[in-house]
Amino acid sequence: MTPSRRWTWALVAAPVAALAMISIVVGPAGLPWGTAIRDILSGHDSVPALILLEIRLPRALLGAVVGAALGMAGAAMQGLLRNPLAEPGVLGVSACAAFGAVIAFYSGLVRLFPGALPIAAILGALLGTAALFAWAGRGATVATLLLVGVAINALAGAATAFGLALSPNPYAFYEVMFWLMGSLADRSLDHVAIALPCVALGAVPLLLMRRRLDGLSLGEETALALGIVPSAVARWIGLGTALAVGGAVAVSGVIGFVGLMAPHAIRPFVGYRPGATLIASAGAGAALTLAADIAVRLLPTGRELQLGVMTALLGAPFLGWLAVRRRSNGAAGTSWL
Amino acid sequence: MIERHTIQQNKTSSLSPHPAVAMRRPPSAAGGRRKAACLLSLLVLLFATPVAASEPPARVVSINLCLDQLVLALAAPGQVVAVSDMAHDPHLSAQWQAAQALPAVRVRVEEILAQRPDLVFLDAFAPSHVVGLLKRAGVRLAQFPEASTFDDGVARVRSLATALGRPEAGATLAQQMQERRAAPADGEHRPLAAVWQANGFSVGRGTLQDDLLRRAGFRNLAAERSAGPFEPLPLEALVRAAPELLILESPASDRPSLAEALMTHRAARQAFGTTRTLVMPHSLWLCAGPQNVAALDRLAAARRSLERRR
Repeated sequence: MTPSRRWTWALVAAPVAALAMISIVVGPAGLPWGTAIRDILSGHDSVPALILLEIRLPRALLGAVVGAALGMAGAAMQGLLRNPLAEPGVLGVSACAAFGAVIAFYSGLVRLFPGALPIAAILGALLGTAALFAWAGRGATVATLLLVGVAINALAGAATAFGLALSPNPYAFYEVMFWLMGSLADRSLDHVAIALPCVALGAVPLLLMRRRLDGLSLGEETALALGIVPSAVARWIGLGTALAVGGAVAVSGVIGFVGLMAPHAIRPFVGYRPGATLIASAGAGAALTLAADIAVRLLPTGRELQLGVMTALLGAPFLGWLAVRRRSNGAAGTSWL
Repeated sequence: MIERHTIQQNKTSSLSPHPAVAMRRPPSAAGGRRKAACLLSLLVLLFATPVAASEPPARVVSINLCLDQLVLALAAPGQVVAVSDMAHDPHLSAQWQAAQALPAVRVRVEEILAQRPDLVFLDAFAPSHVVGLLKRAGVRLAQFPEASTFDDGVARVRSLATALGRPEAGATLAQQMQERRAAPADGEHRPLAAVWQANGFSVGRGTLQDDLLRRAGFRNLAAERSAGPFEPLPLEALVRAAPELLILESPASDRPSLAEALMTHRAARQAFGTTRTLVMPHSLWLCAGPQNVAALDRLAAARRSLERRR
């Protein structure tokens, strides 16, 4: 088991590291690398050092952190709901987080207390997960869950646009694009400092629930016989998801479909136990987000494409493909297609 | 980030001085050139009618932020009955205090007609349906061409005062502006400055801000980078170019926006610090007019302090 696990780690870490390096290299202006690295190491404040440390590095770090949060949250939700189409973006949890962030940011609350931004986003995400679990429930069919998710998503998106329209700031309304279609452009280390602790904190309950998610996948009765209380697992998973997704969305807006694609991408390698997918899916999410964020900077579009647009371009066809494959397998097939 | 493109397009197509102005307007339709030709003929028509010779207007309404401020400065007491809603905004208008006593109108025909105006001031980029409907309602219109230099502002002061039937007030104000205009520095060191606006846009050639920068003895980074009037200036490119002075604009509202939060990015803060950053109030250089003198004073002071540190 040990060698194969070591392989899994490499499989997760290598693409993330490689893509993070590429992300740092991609930028509008060429960078004298030798000078930049020398100046950073010697603590000298030069222009190349500043660009590398304060502009390129935060973007790469955020790509990894936000992607990992979405990937892990997607895997946890798919495991808990025993539903291969579950994902924070599609089911509206991210949109609820964006709504919370918008309220905190545009009301001016962040000026009084900077922590209000992630806290409000986390509360929004909590509300979203609570509504989702309450209305759809763990035993819901794929269709019911998706319908409830679509409703939550639409409501939260509309509420976000409404909240932005209420702001007297002339720019606010046009920022609906950022909140509903996500972006990592021009983010700074300040944003890393917001997202990273929330995502790390959220990963704790998710990872602690690993074994119980495996138990739940055997069915609720078997799980109960093993001493697992499904409602308690749901609460902890809900909390972890809200922390991770809230922290990510507070700095990046809604980036959809990453949590949907990442678990499916790694299942062939790590197996079909939900608990085993969490870390690998976090890695896949990070790699996917970094790759998409590199693509939006390299594509010859007049202005930079929103990151959420890019992930939707990949993810929406994938969702359709999953649904079609599921139908041809018969809905009574395995729970993972 | 936000709708950079829309703002930019609106800025260039409607030449509104500020995104706030541009955003509240419908984007101008295709065939702008034909429209411009129509407007030009309209202008000729308007000014061909003996405006100044007839009775001075008694109920003036202005529906453009830039004209509002000039009207408020030049009109006789009681002569102006309403100005645009933006003229009341202290973030954008240099005459917001004078505007408080007057009702605000938006660019909507019903709101304008409700004020029973005998003369309406509009800029050359007013929506054509509004212009058409006001003319059909029998209201006299005075449309003014774009003012994108300090001298355009002086000319506008004169022609607007004439339309108000107060040419001597216009002559006085124009004289005051010209006395205090900075002379372009020749042969002196001209430091490089960059204007960085909301959403990371900069202003290049053909803008009032560019004209004021030149007058104050600065070179303008955006004008040297490209020919367009409103171009995105990526943070990385800004830091790379290392201009001697970074000019940010004061917030457009009491409430925050991501567009303006970009101005406080750590990289910009660290690269320029407070000593190489000037915050210019929107109200001073958004529109051509007497308030530009204060903008020139601030630019000149910034240039002097840069020179002292060299």
